Amino acid sequence: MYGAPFLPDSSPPFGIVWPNAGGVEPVSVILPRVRRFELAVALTTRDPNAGRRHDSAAKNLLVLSLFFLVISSVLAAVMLVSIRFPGFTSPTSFGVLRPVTYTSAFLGWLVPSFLAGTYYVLPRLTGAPLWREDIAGLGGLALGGVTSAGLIVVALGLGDGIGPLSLPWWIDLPILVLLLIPVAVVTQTIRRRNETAVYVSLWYLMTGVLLLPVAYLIGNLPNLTAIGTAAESSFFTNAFLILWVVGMGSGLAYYTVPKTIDQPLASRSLARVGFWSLVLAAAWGGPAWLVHSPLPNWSESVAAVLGLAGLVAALATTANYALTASARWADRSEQPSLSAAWIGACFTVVVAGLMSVGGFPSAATLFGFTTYWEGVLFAATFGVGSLFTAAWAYQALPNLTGRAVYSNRLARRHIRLTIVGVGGTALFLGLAGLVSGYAATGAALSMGDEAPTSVLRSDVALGAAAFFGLVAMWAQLTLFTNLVRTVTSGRATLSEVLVTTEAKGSGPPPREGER
Amino acid sequence: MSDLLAAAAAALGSPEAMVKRSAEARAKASGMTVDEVLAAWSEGATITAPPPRDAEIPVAVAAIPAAAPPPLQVETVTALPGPAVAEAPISPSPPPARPPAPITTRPPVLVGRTDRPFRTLTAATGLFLVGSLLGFVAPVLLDASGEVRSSRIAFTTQAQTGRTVYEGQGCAACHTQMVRPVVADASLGPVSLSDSNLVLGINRIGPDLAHVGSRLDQVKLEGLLGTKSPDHPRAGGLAADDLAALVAYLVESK
Repeated sequence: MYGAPFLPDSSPPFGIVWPNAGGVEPVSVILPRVRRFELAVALTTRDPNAGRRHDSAAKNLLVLSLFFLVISSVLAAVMLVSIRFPGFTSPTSFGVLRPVTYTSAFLGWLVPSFLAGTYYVLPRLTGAPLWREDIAGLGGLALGGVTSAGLIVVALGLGDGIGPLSLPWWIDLPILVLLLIPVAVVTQTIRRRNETAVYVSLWYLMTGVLLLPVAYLIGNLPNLTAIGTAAESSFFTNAFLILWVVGMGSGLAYYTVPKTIDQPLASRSLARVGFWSLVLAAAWGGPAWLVHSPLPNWSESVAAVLGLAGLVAALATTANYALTASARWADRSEQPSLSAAWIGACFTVVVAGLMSVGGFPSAATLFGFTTYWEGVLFAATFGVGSLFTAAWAYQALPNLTGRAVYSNRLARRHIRLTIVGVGGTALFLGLAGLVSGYAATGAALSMGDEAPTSVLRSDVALGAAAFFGLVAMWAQLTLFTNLVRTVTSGRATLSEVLVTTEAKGSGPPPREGER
Repeated sequence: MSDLLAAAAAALGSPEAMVKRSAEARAKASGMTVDEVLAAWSEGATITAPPPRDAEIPVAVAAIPAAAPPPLQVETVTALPGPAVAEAPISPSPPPARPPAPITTRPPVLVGRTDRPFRTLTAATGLFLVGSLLGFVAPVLLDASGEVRSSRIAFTTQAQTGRTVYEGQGCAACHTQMVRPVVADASLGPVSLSDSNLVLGINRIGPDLAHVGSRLDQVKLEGLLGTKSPDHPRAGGLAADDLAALVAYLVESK
C-alpha cells in the first residue's frame, strides 16, 4: 500500500480503494468485507487504530446540516416574499425573518456542513485519526441545539440587533465556546499528522476553523457605540462570507477536485496567492458595506482597495480548479462533485466581484444600503455555500456510506436551479437596489428639499426576486433530496477504507537525514 | 529506463513524470536503484521502505563503548591466541542479544516537502487580527473620542426601552438611522456624525428613520405600527408598553 507512487499536493496517500466487482452488491454484503479488510490491514501493518470507526463526526454533522439546509432555504423564500409584500407575512416581518434565516443558514447549515467536510478530509490528508472524534461530533450536535434555541429567541423578538444573526450575548457565548471545539480538534489532529506535506486544503480549513471564533467574537461584542455596532455587523458579515463560505468551501474543493479527477493540483503558487488574498479580504473588507457612513474615510478607502483582494482570491482559486480539471475534463465533467465545485467557484467570482464593486465610493452612492447587498449576501450563502456543500458531499458520501450518489440527474438539476434561482434572486435584488439608489439620487437632484423621504422601490424587481427565491428554495430541496436518498437508497459502490496511524509524538516523522 | 518508466506508468495509471519522481524518492528511501523500483512497479509489486535507521544498526555495533580502548591494549590483546583482533575493541565478551526492536506503529512516510502548518496559521491569524484592529476597532475607538458638535440624543427612559424593542424587532434590517453625505440623502436631514446613539443599521429597504420624529408625530406612528398595512408589517405581538416605548423612541429620533 505504502509502496505505491503518490501524487503530490492533493492526492492523499492514506486511502485505499477497495474494488467491488460490478459495483452492484448491496451494502449488507460489502460492509462485512470492508471490516475484514480493515482487520487484515490492521494485522499486516500492526496499526492499532486501523480497525477503528472513522468519520462518525463528519456523518453526524452532515445530517445536522441537511436538517438546517431545509429550514433555512424555506425561511429564505419567505423572507424574500416579505420584502416585496411586507404585510403578507405580518405579524412577523423581514426584520425578524432575516436574522432567523441567516442564523439557521450560517450556524445551522454552513458551519456544521463545512465542519463535517473538514472532519472528513482531515484524517485523509494527515494520515492521523481525528483527535477526539466523539467530542467533535457532540460539539457539532450541541451547536445545532444552541442554534435552535437562538432561532426561537430571535423569532420572539429578543434579538440584540447586532450583525446578521442578531443573537443576544447569552446565546453568543455558548456558540463561541462550541466554535472553539473544532479549533482544538483540528489543531491537535494536525499536530499528530503522519504526513510531512501540508496540502493546500489544510491551509484553508485550519485557518477558517481557527479564525471563525475570532471573527464571531469581534463581530458580536455588545454595548459598542452606534457606529461600532454597525461596523461590527458589516465586519462579521464580510468575514463570515469570505472566510467561511468562500474560504472553507474553496478549501474543501481543493480536496474534491483533484480527488475526483485523479490528478494533482495544477499550481501550489496560485493557491498560495488565493489563500493570502482571502485572509486580507476577510480582515479588511468589512467597511465596504458602510461606505459614506460616519466611519473615517481612510477606513472605507482601504476597504475598497483591499476588497479587491477577495476578487483576486476567487479568480486564483477558480483558475487553479480549471487548470487542474482541464487534463481530464472530457471524461470527468459529468461527475457531480466536479461540476458543483466548478460552478461554486464561478459563483465566488461573481460574489467577490459584486462585493468589490459595491465597496467603491462612487458605486456606493447608488448601491449603498440597498437591496444590492442583500443580493450579495443571498448569492454567497445559497449559491456558493450550497454548491460547495454539494461538491464535498457528493465526493464524500460514497466513502462515508458505501453508496454512490443517488442521482446525477438530480445533481445536475440542483446546479441548474441554483444558477437560475440564486442568480436570478441576486440579479433582481441588485436591480432593485440600483433603481432605488438611482431614483433617490434623481429625486434629490430634481426636487431639492422637496424630495421624497420614502424609499422609491422597484416592486417589479422585488417581485421577480421573490419568485426566483422560490426557485432557489427548490434547488436546495433538490440537493437535500439527493443527499438523503444517497444515504437511504443509493447503489452500492466502491468504498475507500481509511487507515490512519496514531503517532506517539507530535508532528510529522523526521525526513531522511534528519534523524 | 524509459521503457521501464513507461511500463510502470502504464501499470500504475499515473503520468510518467509523477512515477519517475516517486521512483526516485522510493529508491532513495529503500536503497535500491531507480530501475529496480520501476521494474518492480511495472510488475505490480510494491517496494516497502526499510525500517527506521535505528533498527538497521546491528546490535553489536550499537554496543560499542563511547571511549575506544587505547592502541596499547590492542597490542596486548593481539598477542593472545584466540579471536580476531577486530573483535577485541568491541567487547571482551559479546553482549547478550537484545530482543528485536519493536516495529514502530508509524508507517513508512513519503518523502516530500516538510511543511510547517502552524507557521502558516500564525501568520494568517496575525494578518487577520492586524486587519481587524486597524479596519474595525481603531476607527470605532478613534471616532468615539472627539467631536466638536454632539449628535447624541438625550432619550427618555421610555425611549431607551423603545430602542431595545427597535433592535429586538429587527427594524434595522429595513431602516437605517444614518444620513450619508451623498446626493441621494440630501432631503433626509443633517448628516449623521460618528457619536450618534441611534441604531444606524446597514440596510435601507424602507425609509431612513434618523429624523423620523421631525416628520411623523406620535399619532401617525401609532397608526402605522398598530394597524395592518400592505406597505409595512404590523408590529403585532408587541405588548402595549413595548409599542408605546417604540413609538416614543421614534418620536424622539429628531
